[in-house]
Amino acid sequence: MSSATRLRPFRTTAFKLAAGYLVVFGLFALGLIGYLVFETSSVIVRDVDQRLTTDARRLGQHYQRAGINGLFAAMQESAQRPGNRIYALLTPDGVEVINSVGLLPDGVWDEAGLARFAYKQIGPDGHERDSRAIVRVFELPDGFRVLIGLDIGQSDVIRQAIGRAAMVSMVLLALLAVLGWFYVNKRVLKRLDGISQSTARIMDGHLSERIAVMGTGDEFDRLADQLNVMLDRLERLMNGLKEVSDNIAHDLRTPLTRMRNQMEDALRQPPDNATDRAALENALGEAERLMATFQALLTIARVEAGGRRHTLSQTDLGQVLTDVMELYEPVAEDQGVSLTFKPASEVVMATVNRELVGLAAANLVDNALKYGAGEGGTIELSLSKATNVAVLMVTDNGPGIPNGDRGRVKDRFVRLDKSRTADGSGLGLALVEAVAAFHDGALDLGDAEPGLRATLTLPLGSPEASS
Amino acid sequence: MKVLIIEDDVEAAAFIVKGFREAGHAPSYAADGETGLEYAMSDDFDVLVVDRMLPKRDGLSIIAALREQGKQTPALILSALGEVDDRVAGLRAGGDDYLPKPYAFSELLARAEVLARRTTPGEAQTTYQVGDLELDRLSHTVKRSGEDIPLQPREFRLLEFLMKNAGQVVTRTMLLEKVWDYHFDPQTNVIDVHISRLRSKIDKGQDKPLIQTVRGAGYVLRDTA
Repeated sequence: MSSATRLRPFRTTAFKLAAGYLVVFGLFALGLIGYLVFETSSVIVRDVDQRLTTDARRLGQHYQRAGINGLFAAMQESAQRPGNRIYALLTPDGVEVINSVGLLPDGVWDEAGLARFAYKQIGPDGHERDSRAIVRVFELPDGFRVLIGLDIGQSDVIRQAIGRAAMVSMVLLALLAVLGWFYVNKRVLKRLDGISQSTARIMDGHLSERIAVMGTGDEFDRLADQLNVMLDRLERLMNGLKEVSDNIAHDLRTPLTRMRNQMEDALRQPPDNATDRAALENALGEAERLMATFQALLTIARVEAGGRRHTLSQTDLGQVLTDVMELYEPVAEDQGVSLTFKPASEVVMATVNRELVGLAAANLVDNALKYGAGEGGTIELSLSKATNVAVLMVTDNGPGIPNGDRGRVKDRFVRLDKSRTADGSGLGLALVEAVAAFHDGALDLGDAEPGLRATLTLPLGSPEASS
Repeated sequence: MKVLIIEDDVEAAAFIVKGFREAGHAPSYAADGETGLEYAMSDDFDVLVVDRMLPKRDGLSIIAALREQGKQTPALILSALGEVDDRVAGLRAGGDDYLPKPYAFSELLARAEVLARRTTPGEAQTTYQVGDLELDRLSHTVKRSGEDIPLQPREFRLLEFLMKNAGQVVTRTMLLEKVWDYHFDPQTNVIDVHISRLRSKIDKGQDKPLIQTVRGAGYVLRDTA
């Protein structure tokens, strides 16, 4: 790995993601805890208030029945019971005649109603301890003031417990964030890094290198799959280019040399109009064949380059095959070959480039006429419709192609006829293959026992794709 | 016929000019787009042969400019691109025919001559007659010396195209284009076989054959009388 592509931990996406999540979740946790604390204490206050109200009602009944003395007696009795209740009674002169807790803070008597305060509680053992209480103060008509309350020292315990839980969860959260960072770093960034390493090697010229697919089916696998498909295509194009230049060098040199020799030979002879003309005509014919070969090569190259989806239109494939059959029927008849077309049971419409499909079908028939069916032979064109695809078949009953050669004949300039006496550039099947690839279809060469069955499969495509 | 050739490749232009002159036509020549447009505007040519890629002004824009000015001179576009959709682009720009390089001169000549003869676009002739051969487009009948000749639909279209351009050389590629609507180069002799079939129906037993082969170019239907 070069230093330029080495990972810097704090600049990586994984770190930024983990840090971002930590902040967001931290804030969220803080908010949640704050809300919990607030809700808990307000629940406690409501609960306390309700209990105080009940108690006050009880004491009120005593007061109504037996006046201040009855109240005093009831409070005195309640104050002596163990528990966290607080009772206090203040005379109009300001004397606390009952006080169940000890020292009450200043001003607590001044206002009637609900109040919360901190105070010093004297425990049974005589020690003071800090505590909190919620109290309610009532003023009686004869100037006495009654204080009833509840020690809520416990609720602070709850608050502290929540606080501790919050601390623990924050620590856990931070830990999880770090773990997440490590995980993302290890799993995600390592894979991204793997992809960049692979592409770097591919750019260095290792064209057959591919990006590893882990088989997890995640987005990285999908990305890797897509990239690999792209690389396959790229490699095919590169190989195609190399192949074309190799083939041009090998296959076009022969006719060029032949042409040159004929001309040289003509020039060496004494001038004679008839011989000269014959030589010129030969040379012209040779040049025309060369041009046709070039034309075919260029067409293949253009079709292979693809990318002209806007040339597609809704096409009746049955019509295309009928046209091709009509075009070749007289030639076939002259050769004593029966050429027939078996149409599909329904109209087969496909979004294709009509010109190219026609060219491909013509090439297949041409091929069958040249190399397949001889005198008395048969060539059958057929069209059928399968799931989302149209299947065009050209079947002859000729010698066929040996299994081992079937892949090879689709390459450019390959002619199984070693003597190369049959005319033709050896580009026909390469062109059909290119047309198939252009439409995301396939060309398959099979055995018709005897003979060759060329099957061109074309996706029907969506009618909307046409323009 | 007066033909204007707008082509920046001097050697190719000289070859074309010479060819047209030898065929008995009057060729003019412009080496760049601006000059070409000027010539085309100032004179009445029968046909224009326009290279697609030219200095100063490209071929398609010349044709578009001419059409905008109301000049309907038929134009044949020459192009080294030859893409599937280049033809469409060329014809959409107002071109009347399209010939990808490399081409044979006989092909160019035949196409230019056919274009020049097409005086008014969309002329709808319902019957054609060459010598004693008659073709009726409406009733789909063909008669030679008053005698009915039954033809297959495709043969009828083939003969119709030949008769429409009677006296004019038409190439195999043109026939494949007009009769089958395919623009590829028929590698094998498919078209020749179609012609020979047609010939056997039209000319068999006649002392004056009408369909003639022009060597290295194509066919011509002509009354030799």
